[in-house]
Amino acid sequence: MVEVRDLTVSYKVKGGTLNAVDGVSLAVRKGETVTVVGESGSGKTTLGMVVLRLINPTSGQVFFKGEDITRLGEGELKRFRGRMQLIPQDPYSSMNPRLRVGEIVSEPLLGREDREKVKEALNSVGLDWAVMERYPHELSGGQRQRALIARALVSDPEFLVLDEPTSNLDVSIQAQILNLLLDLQSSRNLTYLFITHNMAVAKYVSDRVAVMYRGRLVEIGDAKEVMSNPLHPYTKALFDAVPEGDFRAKLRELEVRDEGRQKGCRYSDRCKFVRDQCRLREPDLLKVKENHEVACILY
Amino acid sequence: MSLYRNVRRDKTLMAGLVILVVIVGLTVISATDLRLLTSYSPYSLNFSASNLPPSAKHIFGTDQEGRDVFTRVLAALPVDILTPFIIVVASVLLGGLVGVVAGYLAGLVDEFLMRITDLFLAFPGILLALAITEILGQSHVSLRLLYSEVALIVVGWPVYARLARGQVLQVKNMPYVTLAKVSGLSRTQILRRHVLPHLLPLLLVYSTLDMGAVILNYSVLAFFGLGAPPPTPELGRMVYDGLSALPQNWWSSLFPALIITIIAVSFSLMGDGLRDALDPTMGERYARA
Amino acid sequence: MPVLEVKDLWVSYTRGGIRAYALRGINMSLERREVMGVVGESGSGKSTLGNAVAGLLPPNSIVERGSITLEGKDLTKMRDLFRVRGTGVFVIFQDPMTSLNPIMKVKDQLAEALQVREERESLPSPFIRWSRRRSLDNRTEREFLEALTRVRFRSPQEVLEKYPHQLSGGERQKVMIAMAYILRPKVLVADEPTTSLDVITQAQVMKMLLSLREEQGTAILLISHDVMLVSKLSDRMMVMYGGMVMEEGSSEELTKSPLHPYTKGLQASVPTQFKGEGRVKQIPGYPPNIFSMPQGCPFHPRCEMAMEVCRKVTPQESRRGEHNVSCHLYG
Repeated sequence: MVEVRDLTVSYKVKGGTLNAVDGVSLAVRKGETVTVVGESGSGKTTLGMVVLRLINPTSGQVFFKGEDITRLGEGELKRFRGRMQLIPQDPYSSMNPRLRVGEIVSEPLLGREDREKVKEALNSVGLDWAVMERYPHELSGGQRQRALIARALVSDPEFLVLDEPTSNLDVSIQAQILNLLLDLQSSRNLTYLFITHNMAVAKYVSDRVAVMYRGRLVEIGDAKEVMSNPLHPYTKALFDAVPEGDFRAKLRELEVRDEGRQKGCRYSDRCKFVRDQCRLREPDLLKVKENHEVACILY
Repeated sequence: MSLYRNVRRDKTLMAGLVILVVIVGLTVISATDLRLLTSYSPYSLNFSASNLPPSAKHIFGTDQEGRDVFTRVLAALPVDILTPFIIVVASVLLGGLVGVVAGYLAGLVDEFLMRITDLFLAFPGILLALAITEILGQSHVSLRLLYSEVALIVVGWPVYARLARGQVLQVKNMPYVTLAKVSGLSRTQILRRHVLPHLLPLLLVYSTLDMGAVILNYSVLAFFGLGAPPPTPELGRMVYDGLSALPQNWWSSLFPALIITIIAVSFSLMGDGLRDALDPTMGERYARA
Repeated sequence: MPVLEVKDLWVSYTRGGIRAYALRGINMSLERREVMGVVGESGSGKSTLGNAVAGLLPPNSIVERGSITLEGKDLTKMRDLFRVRGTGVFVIFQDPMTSLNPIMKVKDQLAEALQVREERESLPSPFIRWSRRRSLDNRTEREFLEALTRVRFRSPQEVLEKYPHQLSGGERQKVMIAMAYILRPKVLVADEPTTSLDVITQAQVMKMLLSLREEQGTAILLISHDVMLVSKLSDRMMVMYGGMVMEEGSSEELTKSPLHPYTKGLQASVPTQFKGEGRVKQIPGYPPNIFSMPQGCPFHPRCEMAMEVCRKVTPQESRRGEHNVSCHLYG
């Protein structure tokens, strides 16, 4: 459904250029959930934004259902807008405080007001349609996030980018929202690009997982496979850092290394298994198994 | 604590509103037919009645030329209210436009427009207005009013440009604007729906407060004779005229000055009250636990 | 003797003339070297508790009843609370951007901390204090570098000269911990210290906190909504809901065999399974707003085990083995 090829997004910063997204190629098939995990600065949010053409790529291509939407102007993109939507991270600042919930949810309809559609969308996320008359500040965080999901659904989309949709929510609400998202996916046959830094969430929602580090895709594959059998040193470090098992012992062994400038593999500075070859060139993604690719010299 | 604010807000808004309604009412009546309010003429000189202190017959007394001060004040209201009004509206429109364009388009356009704004902002308002009007007004006495209006607009618009730009920038970066873009709204739609509604209340509040200041500024210009040409009465000019009669005749300067102050203050009070009244989240704002 | 003791603490907030209770009879004790975790969601009162201990309650709140004792001194009765802050109780917040002065370099922030500690340790004459303030001598600089090295900064010398906005979120938190090393507080309140950080940085920061405990014997109050994190890191933990303590005990006990329905529900809410391998059991409803708290047990509207008595009577704390539970199922 959605595909990016060799996508790069560069920014000019003091002292050169920074590639927020660096040569990433990724495909999301219809009906599946691909989760992009990584730390802040990994480029995962930028990737989500580029896919929706909210940010322009510096090089590479973006495809939506086979059509190249990389260079389309705003006018031409209009016909795609209804089909791909965003569910943002912060339910508090993602709603205009001066508008009523009903107006916010119906915004994607672009003036073609349809009360029925709005009501139906609100129902499908478990909200009483009376909420339409309220203002955002009258709603709780969980209710707001539901309203934002309703808003994303109102234009009958096929593809959703979910940018950390539960990171700002209480744990018990997170569970509700995740279950809701899963239900909606199966009942409406939606395709998700899920972005998160929470491993437990990633585990629960993904068909496939893609790991990004500083703009580059370092590991990608079937969710179960990657998460039970991580190959890239960074992926391993990520999963190790999750508070599970004998966490205190893990912490004692944890080595703290800062990042620095380096040549070759961009993780070499922090890598436990670093070798001399790592500093020579950046490794490419290699297929290790049927559904598991890694970009590391160890393989 | 919130209770205290509610009461205060009410009083403030109410007080300012009441005074303003009275003044505007008087202005309108005065502009249509002054004779409805007073039996005296603001123009005819009557030296036998000059310098009479305030009494039942002449509430504000008479000036050096024997004219009833209260009548002159009423006659001056239309000019002294309408002129600042025009100035403020024009400043808001001009400044607002510049600010919105600069904030929304950003980049070079923004830089360019802001530097121009800074230029105008750097001048000390009153002095500039005085200078402009003096220079231009030497020639055409009758056009002095127009020139002083233009001068005050020139001096007044930059603030609104800054204000508008600031608001636009703030809103532009909010997630809900990004969301609107995702949904396919065009630039103009976003402007109309999200940016402008945030902007207008602020401009309204600020311009109301500004009216007070502009009235004062205009009075100063009028004081120096740079306002409407005589014999049209003007509060600022009346203050000047009355100065030579001090200290015996204190009323022909004081009352006009007092009226100017009252008008300015009532606008301020109303502006304050408006600001509180226009925020839909007032009293409901809470932080996440 | 516990270094920190909270007894029957009731704290209220007033907004728009209406008063509501954020804390309802909290009892807690913290020993030296102990890490006590406080878990809760919005409206649970966990942040209020942290603020109360640190003496940072906002002006519209009142301590209605109860006491907070730090090494025997009742903080609720103290007039000059600032004396306790820093060396008695130190706080690390979620976003250090607001606790670090954006126009001060790191070394100046640390200097400020050092100054506070030295003033408290001994009371030198004002002149000495003034001259100390002026000079960043070798001894002082060494102490800063040491503190920064303890929090594993690769190039502490560089960090000293930086401004907060030049550091990442994780680095700023580390600077806060470095400050804790310098201040040597008896109690450290960490209010959601890693919530906005990614997993790896979070692990690093947690490691530092534990080191702080090891090396200086600091007692740590770890407040978070992350049940997993708190259960793995703390010695004891308490679960808060609607301003009350629902369950309290050793972390191991609470994780292995939770008693309170809310504790069980919280644990079940965190996904451990893969997609398609079953659903996460969700707790229905929303966390309460303190201004509209239900009668009786605050959790009953969302509790699947709710009984008639839960709607009417507030449960009391009772002891079951190593736990303290507040639930009608057990008392």
